[in-house]
Amino acid sequence: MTSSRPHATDEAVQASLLSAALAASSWQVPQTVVDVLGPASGAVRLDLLLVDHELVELHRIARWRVGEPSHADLGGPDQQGVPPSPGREHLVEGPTAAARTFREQVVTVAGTTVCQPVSVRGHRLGVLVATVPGTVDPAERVVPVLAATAGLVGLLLRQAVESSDEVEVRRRSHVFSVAAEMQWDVLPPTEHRGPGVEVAALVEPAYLATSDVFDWAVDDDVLSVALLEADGEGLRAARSADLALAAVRHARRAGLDLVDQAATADDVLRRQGSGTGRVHAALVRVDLGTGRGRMVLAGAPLVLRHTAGALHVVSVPRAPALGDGEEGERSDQPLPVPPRQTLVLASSGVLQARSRDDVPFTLDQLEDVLRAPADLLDTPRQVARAVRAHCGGQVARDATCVLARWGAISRGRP
Amino acid sequence: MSGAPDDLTPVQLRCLEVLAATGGTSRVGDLAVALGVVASSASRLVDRLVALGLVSRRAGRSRREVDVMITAAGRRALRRCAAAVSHALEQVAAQMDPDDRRSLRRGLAALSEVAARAQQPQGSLDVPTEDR
Repeated sequence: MTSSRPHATDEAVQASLLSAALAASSWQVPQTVVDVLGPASGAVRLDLLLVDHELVELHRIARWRVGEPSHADLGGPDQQGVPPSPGREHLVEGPTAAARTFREQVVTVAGTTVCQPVSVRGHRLGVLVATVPGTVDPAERVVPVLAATAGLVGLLLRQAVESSDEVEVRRRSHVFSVAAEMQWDVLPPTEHRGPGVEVAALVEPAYLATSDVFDWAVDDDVLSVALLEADGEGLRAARSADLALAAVRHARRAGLDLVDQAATADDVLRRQGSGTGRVHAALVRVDLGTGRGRMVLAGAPLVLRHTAGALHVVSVPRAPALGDGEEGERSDQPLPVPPRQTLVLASSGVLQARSRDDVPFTLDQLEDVLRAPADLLDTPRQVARAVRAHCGGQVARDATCVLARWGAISRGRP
Repeated sequence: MSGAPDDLTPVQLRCLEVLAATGGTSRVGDLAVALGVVASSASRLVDRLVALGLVSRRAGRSRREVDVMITAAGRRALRRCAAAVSHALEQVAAQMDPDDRRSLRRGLAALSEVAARAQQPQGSLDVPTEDR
C-alpha cells in the first residue's frame, strides 16, 4: 500500500515488531515497541503514552530517541507537549496534540509531531507520539508506519498486562482499592464499535470502583448489555456485584433469557447468605437483525433514550432487584429504544452525585453532556468528567453510565 | 467498644479523623506527626486504608511525599463510627440515675471548656484522643 517508499514495508515492520515483542519479557514490551518503531518510522523520537483507567491523564511509559541507547531518557525536557517525566500528568482534556489525538481518536500531525491513537478491541490505551526531523514530510513514512502498527501495539500491550504488573501500574494515576482491583478484573473493555453497533461505558471513580459493574457482548446479531449496582459499601458490595455479574454471564452463555439470567443471580446471591446484598440491574438484549430489544429492569438503574439532542426517561416496569426476586415476579419488556437512537443506562450514583452545596447532579446536566457533539464512544468519559466536576472532584458513590446504539449508524451522535 | 462498624482499628479511625479535620487531604509525613507515629508506620497505615477504599493516594510517587485524601466512603465510615459511639454512650447513660447524668453532663462540659482553652495556643489539629 506504500510501494513508493524505499523502506521496509508495513508488513515487514509489523513482523519485526511482533517478533521483538514476543522475544521480550512482558514488562519490557512498551520499550520494545518504541525501540522498534522509532527507527522503522524514521522518527528522531518516539514516546508511548498510556491513559489511566479514569481516562483523565496520559502517562509516558516509554521513550526512544535516535542515537541514544534504549531506556536512556525518561526525564528530559520536552517541547512537544509530551509529559516531562514518567508518571507526570498529561491531561486528556489538555491542549496538546497527544491529548486531542486521544480524545478524538484521530491521527494528528502538528508541525514535526505525529500522534497516533493506540486502541484495540474496545481498549482505548494511549497515544504514540513521534517527532520527525524538520526536513522530513511526516506523511511519507511516520504516519503510515504508525497507522499500520498501532493495532498490533495495542494487542501487545493488552497481552503484556496479563503477565506483568509494570504496564498496568505505570498507567495508573491513583493506587487502586482492593475492590477496584476486583472490578477491573471482571469488566469488559470500555467500548466497542462494530458494524451497526456501538457500546461504551465507564465507572467513576475508576480507581475506587466498588458497587457498580457493566457488561456487554456482541455476537453475530445479538447485543447484550448489562449495568449492575450492588447495595452497600466496600468489599461486600464489590463481591455482590461480581457474583451477580458472573451469574448473569453464566446464564446468558448457557442460552437463558433475560428473566432466567436475573433468576440465576437471585439464586447465587441468596446462596451466599449474609455475605452479599441486593444488586440492582438493567439487563438488555437487542436483536441486531431486527433492531428490536428486550429488557429486564430489576431495581434502581435509570433507563434513558437519547435522540436529536433530547433525553427522555424510558418507562419500563421495575421488578425486584437481583437477590430479591421470586418466581414470576419479573418479565422481560420491550425496550422502547429504536435503532439509531441511544440507550443510556445510568447507575443511581449519577443522580445521587452532590455538589459541595448538596445540590444533586440533574438529568438536565446529563442531557447537556449528551447534547454536545462528540463521538458516542467518548461520551461516558465526558459524563464521568461532568459528574466529577459537579461534585468538586470527589464522587460520593460509583457513578456509571453505559451507552449503546445500533442500526445503520454513522460516527458521532444523532 | 466491640463490634465497631467497618471493623476499623482505633488508629485507622483516628487517621480518618485527622484527615477529615484537615480538610480531607494531608501529606503522609504530616499525618505521622499528628498521629504521633513514625513516617513508615503512617505510610503502612495509609496503604491499608487505600486498600479499603477509605483513603486515596496518587500512584508513582514517593510514599511519604504524596498527598493522601479521605474518600467519600472514608467519610461515611467515619460517620458510622461516630454514630456507633454515640449510640453506645446513650445506652449506658440511659441506665444512670438522672441526677448522675446531669452531673456527668456538667462535668463533661467543664472538661471540654478547659480542653478547648488548653488547645488554643497550638491551634493546629483538633483531634479527639481515643479511649483505649
